Amino acid sequence: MYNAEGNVNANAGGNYIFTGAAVKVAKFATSNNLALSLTSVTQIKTNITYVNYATTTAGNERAALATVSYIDPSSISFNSWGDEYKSFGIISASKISFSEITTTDLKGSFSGTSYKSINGTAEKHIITKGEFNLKRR
Amino acid sequence: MPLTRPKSVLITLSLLILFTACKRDSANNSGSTSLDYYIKFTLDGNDQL
Repeated sequence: MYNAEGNVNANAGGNYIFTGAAVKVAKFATSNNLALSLTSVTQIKTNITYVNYATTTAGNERAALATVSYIDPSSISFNSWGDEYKSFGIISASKISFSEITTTDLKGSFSGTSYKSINGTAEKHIITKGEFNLKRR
Repeated sequence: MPLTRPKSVLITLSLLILFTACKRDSANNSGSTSLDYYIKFTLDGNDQL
């Protein structure tokens, strides 16, 4: 994918934010677009797996927001949702982690289940084996 | 006897330079900041690059 860029630890109202995205067709963001969003109440660090569901697993941390968004070739948007929406029957499975955060690069991995709407019966995509190396903006 | 390069060597070198230039131009036109930057994943088990 092209235009693989992101930023991390932008501070907004006490929250630390990571955003990253890439497109399959250069400079064409309305289809084949993969975007990652993460909000944490503490500074975002390497070697922690940020998730969008309650967890007691060592090394995992429940983020305020951890979203894996995908826009398909028909420009239909799919998003992942945290377990605060589990009453709608969705599976919250987003994971975002960083192996390297430098002034120039952001490297890490991700996975998630993204839905066409906040409904467990809605069309969904299961995203696995995600890897990113983003130019830090 | 003067040392002369065979034409085939010159043609190969020319093609190599042309290929490298085209590859670099293609990368620039793509909007990619660098070929080293990427996001890849599998979507429902299918590789997405």
